Amino acid sequence: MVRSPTIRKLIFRDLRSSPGRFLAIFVMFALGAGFFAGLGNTAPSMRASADIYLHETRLADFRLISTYGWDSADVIEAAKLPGVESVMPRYSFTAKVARPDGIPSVFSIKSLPLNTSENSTSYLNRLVLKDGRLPAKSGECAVDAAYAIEIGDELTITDEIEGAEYGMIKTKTVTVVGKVDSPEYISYARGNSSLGNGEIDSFLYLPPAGMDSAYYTEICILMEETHGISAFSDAYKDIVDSSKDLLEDFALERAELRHRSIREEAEQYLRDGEADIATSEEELRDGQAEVDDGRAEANREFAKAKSDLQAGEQKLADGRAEYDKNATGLADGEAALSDAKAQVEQMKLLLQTLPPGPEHDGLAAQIAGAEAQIAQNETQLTMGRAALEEAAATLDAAAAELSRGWASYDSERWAAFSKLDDAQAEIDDGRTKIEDAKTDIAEARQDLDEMDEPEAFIFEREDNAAYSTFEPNAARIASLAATIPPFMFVIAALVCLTTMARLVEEHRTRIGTLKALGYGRGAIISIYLFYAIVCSLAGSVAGILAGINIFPSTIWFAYEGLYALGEFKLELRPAICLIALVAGVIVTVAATFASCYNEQRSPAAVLMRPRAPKAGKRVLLERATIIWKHLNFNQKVTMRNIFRYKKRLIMTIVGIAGCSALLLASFGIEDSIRSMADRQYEDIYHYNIYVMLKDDADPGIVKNELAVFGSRDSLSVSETSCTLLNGEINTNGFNTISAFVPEDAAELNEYILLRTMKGEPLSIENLSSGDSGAELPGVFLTDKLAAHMDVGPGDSLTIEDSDGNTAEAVVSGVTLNYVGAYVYMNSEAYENVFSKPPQYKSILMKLNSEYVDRVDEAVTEIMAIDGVEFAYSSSAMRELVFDIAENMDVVIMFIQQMSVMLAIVVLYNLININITEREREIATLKVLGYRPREVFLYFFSESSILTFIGALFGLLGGIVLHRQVINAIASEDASFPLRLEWGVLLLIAMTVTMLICVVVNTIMQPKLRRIDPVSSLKSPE
Amino acid sequence: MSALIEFKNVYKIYQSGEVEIRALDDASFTVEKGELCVVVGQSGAGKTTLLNIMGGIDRATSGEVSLDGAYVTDFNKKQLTEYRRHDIGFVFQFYNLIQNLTALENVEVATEMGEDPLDPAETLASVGLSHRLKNFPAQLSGGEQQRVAIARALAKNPKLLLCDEPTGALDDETGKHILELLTERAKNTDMTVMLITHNSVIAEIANRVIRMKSGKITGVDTNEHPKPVSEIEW
Ligand SMILES: Nc1ncnc2c1ncn2[C@@H]1O[C@H](COP(=O)(O)OP(=O)(O)O)[C@@H](O)[C@H]1O
Ligand SMILES: [Mg+2]
Repeated sequence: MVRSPTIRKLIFRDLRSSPGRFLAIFVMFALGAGFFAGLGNTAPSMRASADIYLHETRLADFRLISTYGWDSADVIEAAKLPGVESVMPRYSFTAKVARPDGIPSVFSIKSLPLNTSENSTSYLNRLVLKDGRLPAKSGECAVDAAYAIEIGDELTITDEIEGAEYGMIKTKTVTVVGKVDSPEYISYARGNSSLGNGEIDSFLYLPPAGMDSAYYTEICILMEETHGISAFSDAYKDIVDSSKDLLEDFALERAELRHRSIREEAEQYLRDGEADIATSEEELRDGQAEVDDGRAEANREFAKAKSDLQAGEQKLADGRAEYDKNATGLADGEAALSDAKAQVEQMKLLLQTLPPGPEHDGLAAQIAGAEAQIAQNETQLTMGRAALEEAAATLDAAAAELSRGWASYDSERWAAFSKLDDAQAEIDDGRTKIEDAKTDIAEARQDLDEMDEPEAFIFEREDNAAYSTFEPNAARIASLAATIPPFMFVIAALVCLTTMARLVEEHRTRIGTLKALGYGRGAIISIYLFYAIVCSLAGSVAGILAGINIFPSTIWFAYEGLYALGEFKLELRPAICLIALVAGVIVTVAATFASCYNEQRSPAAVLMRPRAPKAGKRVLLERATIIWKHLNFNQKVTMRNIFRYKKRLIMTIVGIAGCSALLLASFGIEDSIRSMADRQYEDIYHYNIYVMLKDDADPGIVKNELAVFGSRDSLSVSETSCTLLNGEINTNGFNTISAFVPEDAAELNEYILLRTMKGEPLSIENLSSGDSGAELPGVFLTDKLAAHMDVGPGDSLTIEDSDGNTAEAVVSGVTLNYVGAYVYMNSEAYENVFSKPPQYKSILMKLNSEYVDRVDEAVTEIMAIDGVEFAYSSSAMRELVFDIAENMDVVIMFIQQMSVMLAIVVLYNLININITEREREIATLKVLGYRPREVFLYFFSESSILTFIGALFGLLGGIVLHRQVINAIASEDASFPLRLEWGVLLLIAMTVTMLICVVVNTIMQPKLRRIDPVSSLKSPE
Repeated sequence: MSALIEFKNVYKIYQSGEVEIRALDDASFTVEKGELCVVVGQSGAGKTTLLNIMGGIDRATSGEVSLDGAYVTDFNKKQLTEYRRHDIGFVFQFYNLIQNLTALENVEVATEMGEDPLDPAETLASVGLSHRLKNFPAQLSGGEQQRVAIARALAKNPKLLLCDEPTGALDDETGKHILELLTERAKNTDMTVMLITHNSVIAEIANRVIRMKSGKITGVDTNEHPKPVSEIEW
């Protein structure tokens, strides 16, 4: 560039002799290029670091879930799908888990694959072991490294479980053997469930040995094509979008297949059951017949036995009667015998009295005959007695026999009948059982008939909230990188311009001499270009080196609180560094040309003579005689001096304005970011809790139960996702757009304050319903959405529901909103747009005084209500949004530091130039006897007035810059407030700028002091 | 009554490496109050050095310098500033007017801080510039600018007026006007004037002539009857 070695030497001497000048250009370009390259490389580095982590941990691109789970055939089929690299089936569910101290937490529980070795392709979502080891056998688990629990502790999975059956877990008490990070949880938020207060506290992984189930709950899929592609690139989105259709078809088809086979299996089972019942019934019938026969037989047998016994009884009685008769006969005989004996005795007595004679003889004969008779009778009687005794014995024996017979009859009969009764009872039992089985089968059949149609869900990485916030965060930094640094380059250009102009001015005579020596214009300009480029390139290089080493890693570490994405890796975009360098060079070249141009045109002779002093001029202010008269002498001098050099005045004002604009903008950005959450969740949303109902819940009942928490009637609302179309513009980039309908339109503003950007209230009540047909249904759009759709009040657009039905609506108002995208409408309009009545499945509620300070408790209690799917508090949402936004702080801090440094350098440079330019004037004042303080004030009043004016312009510019940056960093569904406490911010920015002015002036004081009065004697340059 | 100015064995030595330059080499002299004193010598003789030390903008290496009994060589920085402020008026070769101020304002710069200043407008009128009060230096000729400079020095009403080659940048005719102005002041007021020139002809207008060569005072002449400026020729 500069060929002459002498000239080159001269340049380097110049550089060395005025380090202040070198430093000014150096620092400005270091700041500009450093900030640009640093911030510019931050987003790529963030993405690259995340990508490395996601790649190394093989995070699945998709998760397939069906309402009936998946079996191994499904897994095999999924692996065969075109484009699928690997599949990993697993169990995944949420459960309440009791810690050793008994406190339950909600855990997301997942199973690991069998093979967790490094080279196992089917090991997706790989865990990063922080401590311990992975679980290997049933009863072991690995836990979230962020969860406060020690290795060796035991956790107990309770039966409060969601997404799986309790029986699927083999061992409910598991020991922690490892602490891990999971790529599925890159943010500290662990997700939501309907258990507990709705928030998942942590996660744990079980080995496959710990699970016992015939089916899996989900299949994780990694695609082939997503390898080596950034997960945050459009290419990735394209691949995912195109694969998603395929997977959706597959999942639904397999789910249906699975549904059918489950159904068939169940039906077969039912049929088998019915057959079993039939067999059992047959058996029962046979049994009954047997019992009946048995009973008849027994009856018969026992009847005969009884009659036999009774006959025996009769015989005995007969015997007894005979015996009695015989005994009586015997007694009669004995009585007769005794009578006969007595007669014989009588006769014998008579005989004695009777003389023998016939009579006697007759008598004696008679007596002898009678005695013979008696003897005969006596023998007979004796024989009769013996026979009677014998008969008595026989009768006794028969009686004993008979009573034995009765006893055995009784016992046998009881035994026989109880046996029969038992058999009957058994049969009866069997009957009941069969009845029960029949009812069961009938019920099962009904269940089977009512079995839900299968549903399949596909989740991609984007569905993980942490991933969907990561990219906008990186993009925000990229936007900042694009908005702020150009501003810095402009200021750098300005500093370069003033500095080089001053240098050229100082070198007037030298330039003249060189010209006279025959150096061409180009040659001379190139000297100064070389000088400036050396300064700016050195600055740019140093700045870039510092920038890429400071910004990306610092910002990454700041984001570590929010995201756990492994190690930081600097991903350098050479193009960005090159742009920073080239921009610096271009700016320098342009500025140097501009400053050299005029000097260069003058002929050598003119240049060699001292420059004619710039003529003094009356300033405009003097025309305003009234003011001018009231200024004291020093003020007049200050005013004159300020307006003396228009160029310097403008440079100074613009330079300071730039810095204070940046400063104010950075304060404003910080404020906007920090206040966004409060604005949304306190100023716009006035409800405390959002309750979402289950599909089958009865809103009326739930509302009744909610009444204990609320301060007033709650508001039922309907939220339906929809898309908007306006010509070519659509809302595909948005996460979700909700068509929001309150049940009671008049109540809405009590819960959600709809206002225009100017603060005028908007009422959904008076919106046109579109009933008449002549006019379209009216809707309110949130501001960012309206801006995106390029519509304003009065414009119409097309609303499309999730089924693809479209309808026209007119935008009746645009409402201020920061988080999310909504289309507000009343129920009539909804019906006219969507051709169906809104489903009020959500409830907004304000807590009463009892609960308002115990929001978390209220949420937990509300979650426990039947029919509540989930509930969350707006304060929790506010915190979440705030935390995410707060991470921008470190970037904002950088901007603030940069703008302070810029301001210092700009002021230092300008004051420095001002002083060197006016060294003679200062020396003269010193000779005249100005005291150091007076000399300082003479200058300070000038620069502080200039700073003040510059800052005033800058503050105006800052508001504009703030708006620009805020618009740049807003994502589709999150924007930041533009209206701030500007008064306070302006005051702060002004104070800081003025403070910098005071500091720099104070720093410059020694330089003023050092000016030797003797130098006033030098001839003017 | 002792002399107003007294130089006693004053040395000013510049040490640059091995070489020692004696800008003033044992300079001793006195000047009486109300005199017009001209210092003559070739370029590099040490005249400016002498004047600067007298004016309190430079310090002697050794020796004593006093003005009206006060030892300037003993002054600290602050005292030097006050000394320049109240006792000394400076007229430079290149006028050193503040370009951004009008003639009147340039004078006011000095009177603003003086203890007993003269009226700026009157002072300007007395140097013949009553009609140029509101002009900026760039609108004035060299002679006029130098007159403004003189007015600025005079208006402070100093004890001593120091002029370092006030005519150096002016043509002869204009130079003479300036000299006339200065001699007239020295004669008619009790202000003392020290004037430097390398032109020995000018010495004839002085009450006292100090001749210098290589830092040494080679002679001090007193001139009972100085020539009027109009009579000298160069
Ligand atoms: N700052 C300085 N450093 C070194 N030498 C100096 C300096 N100022 C003056 N001199 C030397 O002192 C001598 C006297 O200079 P000066 O008083 O300006 O002479 P004059 O005014 O008579 O022309 C000269 O030789 C000059 O080179
Ligand atoms: Mg000199």
